[in-house]
Amino acid sequence: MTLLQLPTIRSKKPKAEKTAATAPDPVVLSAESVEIIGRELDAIRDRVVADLGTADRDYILRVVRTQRRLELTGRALMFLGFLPPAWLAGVAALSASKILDNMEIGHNVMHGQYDWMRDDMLHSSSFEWDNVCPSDQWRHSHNYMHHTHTNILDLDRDIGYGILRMEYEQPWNPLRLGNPLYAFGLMMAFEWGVMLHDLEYDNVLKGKRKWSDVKGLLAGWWGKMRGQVAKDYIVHPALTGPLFPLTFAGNLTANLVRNVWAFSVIFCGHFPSGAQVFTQEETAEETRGEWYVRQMLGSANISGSPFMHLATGNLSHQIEHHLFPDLPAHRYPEIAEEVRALCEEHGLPYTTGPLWKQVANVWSKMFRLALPLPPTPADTPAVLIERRKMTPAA
Amino acid sequence: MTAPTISRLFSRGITRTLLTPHPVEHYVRSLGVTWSDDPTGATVVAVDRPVADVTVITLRLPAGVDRPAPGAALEIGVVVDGVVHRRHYSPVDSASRSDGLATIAVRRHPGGVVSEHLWSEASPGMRLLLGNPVGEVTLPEARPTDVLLVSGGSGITPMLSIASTLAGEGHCGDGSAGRVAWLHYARRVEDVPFRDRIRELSRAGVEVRVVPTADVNPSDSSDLSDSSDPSPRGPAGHLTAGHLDEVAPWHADATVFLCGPEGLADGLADALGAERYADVLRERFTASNGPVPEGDGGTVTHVKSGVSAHNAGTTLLEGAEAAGLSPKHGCRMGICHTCTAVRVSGATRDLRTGEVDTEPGCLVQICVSAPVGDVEIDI
Ligand code: FES
Repeated sequence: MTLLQLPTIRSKKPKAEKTAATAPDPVVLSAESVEIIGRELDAIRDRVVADLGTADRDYILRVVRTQRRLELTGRALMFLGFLPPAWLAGVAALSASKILDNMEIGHNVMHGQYDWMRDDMLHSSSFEWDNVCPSDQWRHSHNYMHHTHTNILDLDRDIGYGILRMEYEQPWNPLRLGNPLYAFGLMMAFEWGVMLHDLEYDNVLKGKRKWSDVKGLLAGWWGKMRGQVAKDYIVHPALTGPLFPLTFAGNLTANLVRNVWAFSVIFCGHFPSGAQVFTQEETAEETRGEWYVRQMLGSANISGSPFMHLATGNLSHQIEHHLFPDLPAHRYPEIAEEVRALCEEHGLPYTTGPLWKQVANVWSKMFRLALPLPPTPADTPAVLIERRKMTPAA
Repeated sequence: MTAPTISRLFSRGITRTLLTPHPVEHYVRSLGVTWSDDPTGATVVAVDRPVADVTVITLRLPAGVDRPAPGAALEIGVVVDGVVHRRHYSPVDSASRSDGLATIAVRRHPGGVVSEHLWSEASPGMRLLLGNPVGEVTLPEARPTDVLLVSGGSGITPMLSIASTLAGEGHCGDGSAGRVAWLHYARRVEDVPFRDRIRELSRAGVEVRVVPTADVNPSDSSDLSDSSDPSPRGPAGHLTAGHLDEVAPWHADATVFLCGPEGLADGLADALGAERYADVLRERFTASNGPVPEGDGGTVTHVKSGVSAHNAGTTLLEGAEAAGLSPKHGCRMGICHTCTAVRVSGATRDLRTGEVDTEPGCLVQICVSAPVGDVEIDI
């Protein structure tokens, strides 16, 4: 096998004519650059992996300790729920606890970011989070389906979760008019949406998925759901006796706050203008460098303070997370400098912005995509990747 | 300790539901409560370094965690550079010890992460992680009449526990029905920890010999002739049939326990003959990592499915598939962690970093790990 460089450039055919007048010329990334970028990113990874140690362990254990304290505080304050400030403080503590549990701890631990510690308490193979989605299903739907196929149309099910129209390439039909409404519903019930994610209900409806595939998921849902619902809506409220309704409402609110927050952060990860989508042919037989470049071009960051990064589970560093999903997330800020410099050096966009701006951008896109409108210049791909083809030696 | 113990309270369904999905033990651990009942940890109460290279550690076990049966081992976890390393150590104590303490001895291996760490760092108050007790071989409840114990090096600890238990039960010595003999092999007598305990056992009727295997240097002989030593005169050098006959002439009908290195096992097999050796109860060394073999590839044994296949150095996932298995996987590039499986034994190379790892019982991603030598994997 020899590597043969073909000067073919894959482009996004349908869009080209519609927006040619207004869109800036895309950057063409040469196959050499792709390989260089791949090697540089590998070097970053190797360096961080070699440096993992006591400080990383102490960090995550500190976050876990904080989360557990917040949770116990929240639960305790519910016993004073008849005092409005105590109830509010309790809801705040519980919301913060659930956000930390799901994002900086759960999401990251289930990515295997702390597997190197070989600690049963924080190992991807056994960790469960405070969320109705069973962790093994999440590792399939998120770690595998989404992270391997990031932003590839019809493969990455995170593009709209099978319900929403998030990209112009998804065909319009009248049902799409409800786009913002569906998005709102998904946001409020996000943990349930995440739980149902692995079902691929649209494929079940189309008959592409067998009942036997689905049956396996049900037992997991039931087991996980039962404990979560019993805890928040029966046992803890019952413990507070006459305050049952207040505790019930408090726990429900905390779950909602977590849902809205998680949805908002996650939707800022891939859908703001500037993030690109790819087709299956474009990404067939990708090299490692090409895989890296797709992760970078398909993701968007959120800028902000260290506190913001913690509250998003460092998904504010979505670009770095997609490049290195199994490196401890608290390392992303330090890596980000280098990734950004690498992007600048090769003329690639590094999409980022403050949370409010990214959230507004995503929502406006969901409204626009409810209608059969043509893409705006901001939504055209900024980068075309020149691909290397493997050709058998003569 | 008042009943019900806290750990029993932990296991009650209601507590589990209150804290679901995190196990109660994790709250205890992550909140940093040094709680004597935390079932995942043990506290060091005393540390002694009686001979060069051996750290003797006395642990307080949490209420509800029983000391393993004589001969079996505790799983101890030590954190070094952020990584938890787990090893198995047999407590030396007699089964009748009832104060909740367990004594283990850790021999320092050059380059041994855990043994070096405990040698330099262990001190009273330190917390060690605790796993489930393990053991292939333990003293049966119905005690055998005649018992022959053979050990070498670190193999001394399970034998101490068995011998102490039998001696404590009056199983040997004047007027008792049973006989207990013990041959322990060490390079030099002064390398052997617990010599006081061995002397006590000797007084209690256990026929015990500590056999030096290194050439005896004349200047050392003063030590050997010291009448307080367990084996002032007696067998020396590597195990022979003569050693068995001298210490336990009745050994033909005895139950034989063995814990020691391969060389010792070979010697015993020669001395007993293959047929008799097949009945020997052998506790394997689990304490240290095996050596890394030269060159990549080896025979991969898939423990669950019972299929063995040669793997020339490709990933364990591809090897398993080539052998007709279909293990769980996703990305095939090391990012999704759905292919994780237990590497029971052997060494594997992480193909992304090139690093070789030999720690037994560890979880590895089979899509980016290749065998280095023979490997057992739990798929
Ligand atoms: S198959 Fe995804 S990590 Fe191995």
